[in-house]
Amino acid sequence: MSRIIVVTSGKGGVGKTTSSANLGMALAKLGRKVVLVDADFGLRNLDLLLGLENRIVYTALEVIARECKLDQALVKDKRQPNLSLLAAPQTRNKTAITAAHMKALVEVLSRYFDYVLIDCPAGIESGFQNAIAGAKEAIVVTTPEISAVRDADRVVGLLEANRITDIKLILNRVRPAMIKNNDMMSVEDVLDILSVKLIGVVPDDEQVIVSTNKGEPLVLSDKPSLAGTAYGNVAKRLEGMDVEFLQLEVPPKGFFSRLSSWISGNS
Amino acid sequence: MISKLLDRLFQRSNIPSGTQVKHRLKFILAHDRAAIEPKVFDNMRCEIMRVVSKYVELDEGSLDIRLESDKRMTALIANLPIRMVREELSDLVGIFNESNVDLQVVDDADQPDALMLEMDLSVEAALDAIAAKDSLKSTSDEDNSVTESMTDIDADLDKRNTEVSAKLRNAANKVQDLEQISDDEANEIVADDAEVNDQIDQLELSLNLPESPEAQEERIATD
Repeated sequence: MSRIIVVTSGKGGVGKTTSSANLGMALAKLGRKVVLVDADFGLRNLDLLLGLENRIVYTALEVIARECKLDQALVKDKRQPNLSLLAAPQTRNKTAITAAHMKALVEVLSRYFDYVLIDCPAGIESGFQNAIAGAKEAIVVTTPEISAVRDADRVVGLLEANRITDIKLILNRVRPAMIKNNDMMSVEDVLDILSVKLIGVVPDDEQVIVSTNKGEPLVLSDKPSLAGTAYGNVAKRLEGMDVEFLQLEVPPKGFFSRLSSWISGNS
Repeated sequence: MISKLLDRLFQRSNIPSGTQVKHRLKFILAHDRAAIEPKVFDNMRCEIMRVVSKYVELDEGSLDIRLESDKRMTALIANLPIRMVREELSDLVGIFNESNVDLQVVDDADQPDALMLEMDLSVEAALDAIAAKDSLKSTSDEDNSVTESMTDIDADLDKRNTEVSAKLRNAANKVQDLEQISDDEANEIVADDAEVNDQIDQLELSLNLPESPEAQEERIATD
């Protein structure tokens, strides 16, 4: 039984596409056949994060317009053959695609893959409605910031109204030092407000930008950074494994660095 | 660095931003989750009062109708204290001939079932408000093709059904809570789950579709 999961957030820039790319890759590494569907029509980025931008010939739009076959539009990742990408069109009018098209597309894909991961565009307009049309489950990505949590709450409400009730939360860009200082909402605070099941806590990590620069998802490396490990754990939890959440602790500092950071207010 | 040190020494008592943001978020979300326009809500409130006043005389000073939000569920809470039951109640039975549920409520009215009535009416009013809002929307989007708006209406109806049943269930829970708190208030009878479910079915059946643009055109043509 394959799973169709939409990765969404409401607010832009909280890490939807990064999460999609890393989860897709991590699930593929676990031996699952995964297809990533970029539903951000007109502003595609998933291909860049996966480093597949030069291999895209056809996109979902050509498939829907019957200009090519579905398997011609699927780009198979050479590093990880279990992973395929169906890119979004970058140029043409995005209103040409309807929710019915998307639903049909993911339903067909779900017959051939274990996981269909849909990378949803930001916002809650037609692009969002199209992206969630065929989904059976949702992963909501948010950060511990007021605007991101508010938008996540709105999106959870909309998902439920569209009968997607299996909703899980990834809390991204967590900064343990700020939480310790009570200058950032903790994981518990966000869960308390959103009342959604937690499936991952991803720390703020500079390596995310480095991996984007290279077009190599974090989880691809043999020794993944903390954020990469966190995404690997999310994939395992999706697979039903019981994995403990990472202990994100502030590294102990020497006396002088503690003193100077106390003085400058960053302790 | 010195100024930062001074800041640090003299602002010890400040509330940390993490606590502030949590309070602000909770406040915002209570409003977000109860997404209903003030004008629509006011209309709904007036209509509920008008309908209830047909049967009983309300104590208008202590009426309380509001929305509450908890754990992703928004409920309409109405507290309508009754001064007295109107004498000519039996004359009004005819109005509700088309619906069994309403008849039952009126039949049992030897001991007026204030809360049941209250719940029923508020749900009906809420449904009307939603339907009114939808028909507003559909008139503003009239350039859309007929087929498109019909499928939209279907989808909306489904959505509305699930929302309404969720709200009803929540309302039933709240009613039970209410009863425990104020045993001494007379006339409060709690509907059990089965009855509420029956009513949900009835209400779902009695949901009215806004008139389709097709039908509107036809009517105008025949006029």
